[in-house]
Amino acid sequence: MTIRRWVAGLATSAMVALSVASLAAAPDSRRMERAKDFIADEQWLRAIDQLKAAVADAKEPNRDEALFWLAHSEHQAEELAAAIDTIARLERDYPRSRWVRPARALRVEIAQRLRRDDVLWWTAAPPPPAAPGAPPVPAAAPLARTPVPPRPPAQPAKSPRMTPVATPPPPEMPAGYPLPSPPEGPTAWIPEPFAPDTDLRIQALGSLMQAHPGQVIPLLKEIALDTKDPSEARRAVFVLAQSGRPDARTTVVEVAKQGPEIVRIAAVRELGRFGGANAGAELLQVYSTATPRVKREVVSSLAVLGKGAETAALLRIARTESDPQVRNVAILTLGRTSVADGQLGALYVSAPRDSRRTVLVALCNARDEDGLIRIASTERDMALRQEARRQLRLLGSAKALKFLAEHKE
Amino acid sequence: MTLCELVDSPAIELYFYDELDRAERARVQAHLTACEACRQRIEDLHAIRRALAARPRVDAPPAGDWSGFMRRLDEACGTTPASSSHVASSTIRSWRSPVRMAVAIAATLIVVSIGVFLAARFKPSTVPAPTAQTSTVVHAPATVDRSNDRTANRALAELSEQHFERSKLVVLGLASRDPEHTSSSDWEYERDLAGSLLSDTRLYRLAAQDRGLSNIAHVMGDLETVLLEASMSEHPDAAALERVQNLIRKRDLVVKMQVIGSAGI
Repeated sequence: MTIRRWVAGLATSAMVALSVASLAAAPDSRRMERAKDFIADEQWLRAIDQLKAAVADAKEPNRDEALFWLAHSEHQAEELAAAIDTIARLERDYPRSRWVRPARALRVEIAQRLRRDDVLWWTAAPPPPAAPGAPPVPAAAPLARTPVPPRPPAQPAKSPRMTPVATPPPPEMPAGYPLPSPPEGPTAWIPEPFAPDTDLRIQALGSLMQAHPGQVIPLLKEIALDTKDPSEARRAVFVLAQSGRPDARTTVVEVAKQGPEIVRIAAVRELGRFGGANAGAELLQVYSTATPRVKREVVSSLAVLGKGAETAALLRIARTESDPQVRNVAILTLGRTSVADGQLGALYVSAPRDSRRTVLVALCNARDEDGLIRIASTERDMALRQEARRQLRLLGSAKALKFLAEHKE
Repeated sequence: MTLCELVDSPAIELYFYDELDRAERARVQAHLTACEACRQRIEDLHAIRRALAARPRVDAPPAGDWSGFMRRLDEACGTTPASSSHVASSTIRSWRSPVRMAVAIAATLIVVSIGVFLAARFKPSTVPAPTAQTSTVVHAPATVDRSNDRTANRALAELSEQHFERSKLVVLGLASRDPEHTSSSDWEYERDLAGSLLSDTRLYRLAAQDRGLSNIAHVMGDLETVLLEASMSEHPDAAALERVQNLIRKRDLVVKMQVIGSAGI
């Protein structure tokens, strides 16, 4: 009897283990394989047929994945309402599935397409969970089967449901900006409770940037400064910088001054990359309070801008910076920019000895053969003179080679 | 690791260019009779000199001044010369040896040729007519048309190019693995890499769509699909890897990333 029980227990355990294993690592069914072939070929309607059949099949082991690819294919086939329904079903039936996250990103994209700012706001700054005994949420608007026309933002009545609930508390909204419209029915799109991750919030905020910059910019700044994940901070800074809005740019400058070092570097990089009329001045503002690493990034960004004023700034940094690494980066960068003839030569004279070798490299990069020949002729330090000759050899111009041939050492 | 200390020293180069004094030259000459690595280095330098002399069509400008070439390339690519030309030309200038310069010339010619060829071949299929059945949706900008914002567009194009370069390593890693001989840990590694690129890819695709940069948005979309399939796949089996490889192949992802990269030299 005991043995029978023991065997029965063992068999049950084995079966449970097998079913758990099959759930965790179920290979794709033939139908899913066909669907993915169609997806690879961008044959969306045929993929939809296969995926719908997979979703309807109770034996299909990866129905959550099938639902995601179904929503993806419906989106590609412009069946947006169907895609939203599918995403909602995925969230409802498989709330813990790993496919929920990309599905939510897809939903934000569809909401942007349909100008459903309420849905975007719900994602960017989700409402707090309803307090016990609170009145029920208003009935959800039915999901439109045709694209919903854009609704103008409602005037100042600040909806408590639209108050961002991110921790720490949301920043003050500057006056003069219209507030987003109160949600009429995002619950048809978004099941409750809903806790978007930061990347999803950044995506939604990016979609809202042009329509509601006054609210979006402080939230992105908050993410950039407060998130513990530098990649998320970098993405928030990117959304700000690429928006092209002056107020967003000012915020990037603030982040470049105040953020954690790695975020400051990202902000400086974006300031240089996306340029702007005042980019050089903004970068110099950041430089004045920067750490050496941030300073090096400022120097690189000034070089990317590459205008006359930025070259003058680089020259000033090369002359006055006390950190030798930063100074040398500035000198090398000058060699790549359109520095005027003779300026690097003058810099050589005034530079500390440990930066003179760098000036020689910069002279070569700037193809300043006259400057190099002058130093190779007059420098008393043999090592530096040899270095000047080496740079002339690398330069390989007729004049340089002639000098080397006539002045062998 | 180099066995001979002299082979990477300037002495060999100086010897080749007849820059050494008599005593030093004699010392190097004696060394060369016994050191095969240094003889090979000298032979390489001769080979480069011969190759350059025998290729008059490689129209290298005097003193390595590539600014004219870069300007023409910029004009052909529709970008302003300010940033790309000086970055590219400065990169060329900063190479420190004739070997690298020769390699650079050869590589530039090859990349430009391949890029032009592939662009001509690939362009019609990159931007197909938007039909529900066969095309990836690339939406028109939903808000403000900033397509005239050339600086920002160029910045986004450069950023995308860098992102494609990073992603290419992952995509090529996935594409070149043997499904039958890929261990679970290798697969896990590729999955993690793919997952780490996913959020950036999505963000850049949306930004490109918003700016009307449909070519970039399209390729970002393909990359996103591949990264999604690779990073979300829980089954460390040959079939899963084959499926990802199939997706990469069918979407011509490597070629597309190469073309976008070439266009942004």
